[in-house]
This record gives sequence, structure tokens and C-alpha cells, in this order.
Amino acid sequence: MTRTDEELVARATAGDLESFNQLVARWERPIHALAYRTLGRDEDARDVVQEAFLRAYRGLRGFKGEAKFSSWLYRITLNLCRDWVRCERRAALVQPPEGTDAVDLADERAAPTESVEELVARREMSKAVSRAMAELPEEQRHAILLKEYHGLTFQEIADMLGCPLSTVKTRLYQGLSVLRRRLERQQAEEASLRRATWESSSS
Amino acid sequence: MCDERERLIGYVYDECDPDERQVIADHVASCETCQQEISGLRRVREDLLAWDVPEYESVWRPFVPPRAVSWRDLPVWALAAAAVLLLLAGGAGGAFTYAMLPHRPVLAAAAAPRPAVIPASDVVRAADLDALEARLTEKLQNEVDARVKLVAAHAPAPAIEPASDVATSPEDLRRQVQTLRVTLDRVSKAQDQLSKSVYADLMSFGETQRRIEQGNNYILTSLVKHAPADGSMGR
Repeated sequence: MTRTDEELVARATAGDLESFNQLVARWERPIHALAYRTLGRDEDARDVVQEAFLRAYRGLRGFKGEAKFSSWLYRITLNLCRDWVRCERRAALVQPPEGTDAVDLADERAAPTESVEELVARREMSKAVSRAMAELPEEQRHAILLKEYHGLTFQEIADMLGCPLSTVKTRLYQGLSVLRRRLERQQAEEASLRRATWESSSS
Repeated sequence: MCDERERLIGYVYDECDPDERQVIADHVASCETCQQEISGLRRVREDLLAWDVPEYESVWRPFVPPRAVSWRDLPVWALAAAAVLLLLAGGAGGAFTYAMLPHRPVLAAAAAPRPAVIPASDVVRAADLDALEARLTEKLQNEVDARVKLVAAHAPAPAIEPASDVATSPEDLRRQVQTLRVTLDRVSKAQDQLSKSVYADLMSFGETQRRIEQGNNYILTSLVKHAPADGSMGR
């Protein structure tokens, strides 16, 4: 029988450690994804995952259930990421390493039908999105992360970030608009570069 | 610029009530700017899907419920320490119990065992108790003899001439015999009382020692039984 988050939280609060382990198993991947997209380093993201669940466990008695357990966890994670960047004096969203072997890329295809060219394009886009997101103000970046990758409603985001619903919509709209312009510009630059490379190699 | 653009967010994410959605849909149908905005927002949302995260393997070490600690899991030194504490507690308890015994009559108190007669060895054995009993009995006999003399000295002797213990007449002889009977009766009663008192003391003391000895034997047996084969004192 699959228990809901609320049931598991109640049991964990009463001292059932196994219930808390189940909550971790259920939510550690989304928490890792949020931390990674916020910090940009897998190693840091894993540390944040561990710390986030430890904090959650310590704070279980203080969790009154006004919000969803997942929202509560996301808030803990974002706070940790913010502290992480400040304390470690690291730049958030460090770029992934450049240059990847085509053989390695072939092993990472999302589906057997995905060609290596498509995979390269997807990875280029991933880097482009990562760079563009890194340049957004924190509040816009958080709104987009929570909406796009974690499916929270406007109201849940507003409750989590402690701002009005209309503010969330504004941050989302402004953030997406900036991203759109930057991505279009990057794509135009890359197309121009490819064209120049092709012309120089063919002449 | 169209003022409806920020309202488009609810429309794009399909998170507005049906009436508002209908209003926006009607507006978009006639507003080329908003059509481009919606198209651009949907495109950037598709681009965002390309941002993947590395493979994740759990870094969480699951909490393990605390296991009840068995005394078998304890290191030998801890068992030894517990044994010593138990021994001390047993000794203290025995001494306390002995000290709290009700006071005996004067004769019994005089003959009560003193700590000095307790054997110096660690373990009290039956032979030790026998020796103790013999010493106490001898002491008791001496005490009884002294009491007999004391009683005899204070016994009424109306017809006995201090200067002579030879009956001068049948009447004197009867009185002396009667006096002796009374004296012997008193001595006999005193001796019985003293014997009972000493016996009770001996039984109480012996029981206490027996319990301490049992506890010691149990602890030593446990230590030998669960001692590690290599003789180490810790785990």
C-alpha cells in the first residue's frame, strides 16, 4: 500500500524512521534536480540534498501541514542553495565542462531513435538554457524552476516565496521573456558561427 | 504594447478560470502581438525542457531504527565493571540488612557475631560457618556459666547458711533442693532464650552470605561463558 506524503510525515513525526526513509526515496530526485539547476554543480547539489533532508527531519515537528510536504522541502532546498552560494562564495550555476567525446554522447542518447546530431543539439540547448538562467535575477529564476520543472501552481509558488499571486505571474512572465530573447540571440549567434565555419571550410 | 501580456501567463500555463480563459482567448484571436507572445512563451518553455540534470544515485543513508542492546553485545570490560558493582551492591545490601536486624536481648547481643569472626577469605564456606558456630557456642557456654553463677548468687536462699552447704535437718535439705530447682529452671530458660537468639542471628548472617555467594558465582559464570575466545577485553 502506497502511503501519502501526509501519512508518512505523521508516522515519521511519531518516530517511524522507515516512513521518513520512504519520503526521502520519493523526493530526493526532484530535490537534487532543483539544487543542481540552482547551483549548477552536481557535487554541491548532492550535498544540499543530504542537508535538506536532515533539516527536514529535524524540523518535522514544526511542519504543520499548511503547505504540501514537497513545497516545504523545496523551500528548505532553495534556502540552503542561497546559503550555499553566500557561504561558499561560489558562483551559482557554474558551467558544465566543455567538450565531450562523440562516443560518450552516443551512450547518453535519451532514446534509441535520437541521433547523435540531435543529442548534440539537445546538449547545446541544455548549456544555453543553463547560461541564460544563470543570468536571471534569483526571484525570477526560482519562479521558473518551481513552475517549469516541479509543476507547482502559481498559488503554491506564492505561498512558498511569500509574495502575492500577481507577483509570481509577473516574475514568470518577465523571466520567460528575458530567457526567450537570450536564447534567440544565442541561437542566432551559433547559427552565424556555424555558417561562417562552413563557408571557411568550403572555400 | 498590449496590456494583456502578463495575463497571458495564466493562459499559457492553463491556470485561470474558464471565464477568464474565454476572455483571453477572444482577445488573442484578434491581437497579433499577443499571438506572438504566446507563441514565444511556448517556444521558450520547450527550450527549457532541454535542460537536463546528471544521473542521480541516492546519497541518502537510510535511518536505521535503534536496535535494543543485549547484554551479550556489551564488551567484557563493561560486564566486569557491572559484576564489581553488583558485588559491592550485594555486600552493602547484606551489611545494611544485618545492621537493621532488631536488637537482641542482652545475652544475645553479648554473644552476637562480630565482624572480626568473619573469615578474611573472599568466599564464606560451610567450614567457616561451622568454625564460627563452634566459637560462638563456646562463647555462649561461657556466658551461660557466668549467668548461672550470677543467678545463683542472687537467688533467694532463705534457709541456706552461707557458712555451710550441708543440710542440718530434713527441712533445710528440702528448702535447699527447692531453691536449686528454681535456680536451675531460671538458668534453663535463659539458656533457651540465648540459644534461640544466637540461632536467629546465625541464620540471618548465613542467608546473607549465601545470597552474595550465589550472585558472585552467577556473575563469574556469565563472564567465563561470554568471554571472547581470544581473551581480548573489548570488541
